[in-house]
Amino acid sequence: MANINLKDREIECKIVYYGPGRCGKTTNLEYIFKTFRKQVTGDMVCAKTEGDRTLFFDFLPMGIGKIKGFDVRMQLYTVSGDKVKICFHTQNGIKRGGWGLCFVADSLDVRREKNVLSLKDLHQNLKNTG
Amino acid sequence: MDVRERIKTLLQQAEIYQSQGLLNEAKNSYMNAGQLIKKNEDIIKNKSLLGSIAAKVRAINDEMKRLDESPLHKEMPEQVQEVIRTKFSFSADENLRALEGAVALAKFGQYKRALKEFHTLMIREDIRMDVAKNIIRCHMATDMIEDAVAQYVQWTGGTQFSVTQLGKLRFFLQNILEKKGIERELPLPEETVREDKEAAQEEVLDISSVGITVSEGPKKGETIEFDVSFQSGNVINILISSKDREVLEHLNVGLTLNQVQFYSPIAMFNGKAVVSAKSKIESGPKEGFYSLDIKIKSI
Repeated sequence: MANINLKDREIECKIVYYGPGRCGKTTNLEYIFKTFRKQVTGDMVCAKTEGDRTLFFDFLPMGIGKIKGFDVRMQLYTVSGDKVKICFHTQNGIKRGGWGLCFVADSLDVRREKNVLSLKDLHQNLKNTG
Repeated sequence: MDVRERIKTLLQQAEIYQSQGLLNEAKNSYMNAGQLIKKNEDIIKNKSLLGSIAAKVRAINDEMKRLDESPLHKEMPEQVQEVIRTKFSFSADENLRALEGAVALAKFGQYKRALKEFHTLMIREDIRMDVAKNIIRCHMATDMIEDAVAQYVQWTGGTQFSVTQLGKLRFFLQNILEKKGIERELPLPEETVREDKEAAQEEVLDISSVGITVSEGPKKGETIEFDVSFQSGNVINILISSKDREVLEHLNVGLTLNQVQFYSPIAMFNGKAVVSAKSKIESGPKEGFYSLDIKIKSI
């Protein structure tokens, strides 16, 4: 569920891109960043290694217009590995954050098993969070 | 499929995998291609092909080694650290949110920045003890033992903490040093610091380890001790190896633990707790371990 700020007349939604490593989560955000430049409200932030692997996360803030006079703001994240558990995986964080999820699967046949493991991991994480 | 076609397919596959950063898969494809060539040397006349494949496998091995040896905790640009600090803190209370942001920086391995944030939070009296302990934790996490000790000594010479608070910080640091096998006697706080205003106030105990009595399964009745890796208020975090299956299967989210021993630097307390979160660590030095959050209900 989104966070609604009545005072500032803002609706805030957070979307986390989840999936196995190297499946295209960052590429998704980069595509959205390039295609919807006008809607991007800040800088796209990528916490990467020296190569092109995401070390921690990618972050992309966007504004997608108004609903009933409320500014709708989206924050898109990709988070790698155990960082999901460190910082998002608390009841407080999930309840306050208004999170949505997008599962990204790798289209390569050789990565099928990784896709399944990642989906099971996501299922377990959601279950643990209640 | 013709052997030549198969080798060609494997080499193309390997190139695609390598371009996608799938180094293990690329290496396997190159090695499978190499083995096929060796088995069919009478058909495949290209002598240099095996050499090329070997060179590509070496390059992949070098890349994998470079990635494995890259520092686990790299200081990120300020822009990234700001996102960590502001977006990974959720409390409604401003002070607690600032503390959460600094703790998030530490959890992401951004210790230098975390220390800077913690030091700015030292002016906030209501969270000062939590901040001080996290400063010590940051120094210990980066193996800067002398810095942690020097920081404590500096506090004993100042007026930020009362005698009682300094005593607790001393116990906290002394306990960590002892667990790391470091023999170091910390100086006692002087008597001239200001009186403890918080003596009457309830303070969350600092827990260094917990003993959990297993209530089901093959280890029923057994008390197993776990070190606390992180503490935030009355929620402590412990890490359990995936090899401890019998314990892990039993400790699920929502489970009330009726017999828990809480070990603090001062004393041991019995109490109750509930498992509030459980997840598997997929990468990093603790890969394969399970991270559990335990919420203290009563002591």
